[in-house]
Amino acid sequence: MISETRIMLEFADDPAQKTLETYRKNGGYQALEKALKEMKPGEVTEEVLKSGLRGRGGAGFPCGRKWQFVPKTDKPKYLAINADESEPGTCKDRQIMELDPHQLIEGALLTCYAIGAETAYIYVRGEYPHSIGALENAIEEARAAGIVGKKILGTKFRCDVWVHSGAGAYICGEETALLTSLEGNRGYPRLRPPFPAVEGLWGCPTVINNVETIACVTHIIKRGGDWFAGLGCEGSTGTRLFCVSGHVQKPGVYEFECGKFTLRELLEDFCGGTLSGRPIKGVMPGGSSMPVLLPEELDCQFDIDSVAKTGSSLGSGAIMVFDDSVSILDAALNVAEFYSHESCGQCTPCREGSDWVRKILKKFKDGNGTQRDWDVLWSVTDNMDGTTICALAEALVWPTQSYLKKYEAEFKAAMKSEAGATA
Amino acid sequence: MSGSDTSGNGNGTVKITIDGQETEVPAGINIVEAGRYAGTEIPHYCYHPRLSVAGNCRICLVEVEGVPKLQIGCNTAVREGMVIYTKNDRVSRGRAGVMEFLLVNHPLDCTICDQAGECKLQDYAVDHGDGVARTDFDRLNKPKNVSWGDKVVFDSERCILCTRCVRFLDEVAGTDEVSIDHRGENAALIVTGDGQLTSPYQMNIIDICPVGALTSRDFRFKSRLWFMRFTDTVCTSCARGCNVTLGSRDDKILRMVPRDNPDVNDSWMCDHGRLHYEFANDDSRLATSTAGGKTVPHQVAAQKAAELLKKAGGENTLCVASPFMTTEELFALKGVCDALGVKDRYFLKPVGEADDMLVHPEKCPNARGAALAGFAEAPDAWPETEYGALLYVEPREGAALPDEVTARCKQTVVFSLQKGKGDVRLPLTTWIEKDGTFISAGDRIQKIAKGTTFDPTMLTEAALLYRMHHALDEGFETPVTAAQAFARWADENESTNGLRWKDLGRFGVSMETAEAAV
Repeated sequence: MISETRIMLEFADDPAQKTLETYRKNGGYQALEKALKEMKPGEVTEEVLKSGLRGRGGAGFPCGRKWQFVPKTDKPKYLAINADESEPGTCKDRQIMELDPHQLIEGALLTCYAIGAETAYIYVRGEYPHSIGALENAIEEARAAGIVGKKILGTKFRCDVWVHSGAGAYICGEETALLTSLEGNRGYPRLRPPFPAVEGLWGCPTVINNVETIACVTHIIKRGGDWFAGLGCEGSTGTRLFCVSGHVQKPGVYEFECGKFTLRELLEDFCGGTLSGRPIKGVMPGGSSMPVLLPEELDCQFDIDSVAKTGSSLGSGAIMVFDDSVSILDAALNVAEFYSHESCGQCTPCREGSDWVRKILKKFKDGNGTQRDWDVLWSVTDNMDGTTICALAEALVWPTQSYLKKYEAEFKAAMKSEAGATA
Repeated sequence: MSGSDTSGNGNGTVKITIDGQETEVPAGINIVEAGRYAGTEIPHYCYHPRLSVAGNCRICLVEVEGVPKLQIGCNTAVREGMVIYTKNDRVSRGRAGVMEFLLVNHPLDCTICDQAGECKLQDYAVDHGDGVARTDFDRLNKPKNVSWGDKVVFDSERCILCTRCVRFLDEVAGTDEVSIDHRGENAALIVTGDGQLTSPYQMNIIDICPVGALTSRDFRFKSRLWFMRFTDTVCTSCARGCNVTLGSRDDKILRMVPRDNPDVNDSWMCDHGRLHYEFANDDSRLATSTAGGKTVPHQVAAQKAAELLKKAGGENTLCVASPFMTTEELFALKGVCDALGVKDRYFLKPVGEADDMLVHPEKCPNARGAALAGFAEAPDAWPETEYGALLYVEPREGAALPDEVTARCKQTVVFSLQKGKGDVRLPLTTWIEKDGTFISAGDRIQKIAKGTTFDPTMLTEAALLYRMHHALDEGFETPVTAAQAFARWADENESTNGLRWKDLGRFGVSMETAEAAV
């Protein structure tokens, strides 16, 4: 039977955990003390490499390797923490920030120590005022206790942590758009190269990590990389937060070791199956931007590499379930409406294509779709795929093409015969 | 990310293969520029060699061997051994896709669009597009005919959001006054503040706009491009000598746009210079010669002028030249002065405001040419000498001989753009009505070329001066072509090292370079 393994959420049920006093009583800031007094910065990175920690934002890039890309230079270095949790269905970082914010601050300080930074910015989604408040309170408390600022815990290490509020654009969760926005400009993704680790904030080396990734760093330094690597499975070590939403009995944010269960076990055993008792029609396993899985595809092990083999992705850990009462035409249009609304408009294919796709899907939903629209939809989404600066175009293309492929019959059944054809 | 893979063979070049053709190109340049070396045009909208790389239009997609996705040429630096495909099926499909996206919401108003004929959307749609529309919904409506001040008019529907104008005003003009409002398909350019552009260089955004979104209030609707004649020349509003292409129709100047010259003006020019051509179109200009108050043929006027001056005697003559004359005209005037033995030779130099970009304080194109021909800058206080005669070529604007100086001269020979006094009065041509050279503030000899004819009966100043010279000295050999006149001048000026007309090319030659090239 599948059960939670709580590390990041271990004390989340205690309302006092967000205070410094309780956080410290529960072992908080021991990892920081250990690192600052007993470890060299390189040893912190070594420990994270050993843990096998991969980024929790969606791409799953090995965290320690990202840190190693920071060049040796006299320029200031920065840590930018991506807390712009905007992918539909994703609500895990909020739990960390609102229920146990100090573990994020501790992780931020550890990361800054490892990469040689003296400033960390936490870019929080503007629609998360409670997260912003919780973080600001925690930072104030930590600053007053000599944990943030100069001479941290009596050592020579100095580091500031700042909270920056987003202003409501999904695209600012894209790491380079986040940097541009943080600098005070319009949230446009940047061309790569140069990569942020070399030229990020204000042209200086910048590491960008997700909230959950940084929270993991705290536990890795506290209990060791080997301990973390022993959790989960190869390629997906440690625990992960999953946000289950949609037509299930028990939606919520849960913490599991990866690779120890299948998606079907999670949804049917742990979450109690669909609320209505009707059969599952499809599951988005990693946020709305990932290809949909059919009911017969739910038996894969639930870890990064196994899900990737199905052609979908674990993404941001947002699992969205819909039962067979859902019209795929509605679901596809819903996704297209979101991404066309959130396209920043910088690159031609995404700016023009996402709206075009939305318009065609609206035709299908209204019962006016034709075979020609079907063909155009495939070709327009093909033309958007891989031709833009950032991955927002793909975030629309991948789920849309998966709907077209996996629910072709439903689309075809809703089609109108070609104009001019006799009724 | 590392520099080592772009360094090539160490002498600053790398070998790459474009469409099967091996080419050696400078290390570190991007693929769009590398294409120029290989003779392959890689289409681009947002990329401009004089602006930062935006990478947003996506039309410059190319395939780089070993890289899974198509890459944009503008942001991909060449590497030693790089194999690039710019025309294969995959690239063609990618470009056709981008082309189609660009046209999805673009209005079909080419028939009333000023850009038609020099529109990159038209050009690339023909070269790279599929030629059919696959959309059956209404195109987006955005604001049209938006005033951005007294010089620029904006059409948001035509805009492809390449941000060249945004980047120019930020990076080059320094006013950072155009931005993008909204997002996605609703994104649209706006002018910050009160919506009116302030930059004295704002009209450059019209030139770099690859489509018809930004049009010139001065030029729009005046003529279709294909009815116009284009002449490569230089601007005469100050001594910078910005290279321009002048567009005319029916012998009227309709517009000037900058012509890229990395040694002078890059791709830019100031709005004042661009819009300053009305004097040439002025129909009330002087086109006839008069002697003793009577209209006479130009040749006769030149003959009378020579006689008048000869009678007065060189010692007793004041010659005042204009820095709007070409180098060759100034040299011809010097010849007349030499033949007469004129001692007092000056030129009037208009001056004014400068800026730290292109605008030079000397408000004339050829003060250096005047100085090289031996004319001294006019003194602040003119000596109270009484002269028997004045030989005066009026500056086009900005400076004039004080009336009391003229009054101290018994008789006058005046070259002028306007009707007026003078014992002999001859008409001036403007710079677009003749061939010749100017020497810019950067000591650069640059060609000007004839693009219009004001009055077919008129003679150029050079022709009139040659006639005067011939009247004074029968042995004077008249140069027939601009090239001959230039050679005559160059041979008299050692520092030019035997420079010839053909050496000047499209971009001119620096005097320093000519001097050094022994």
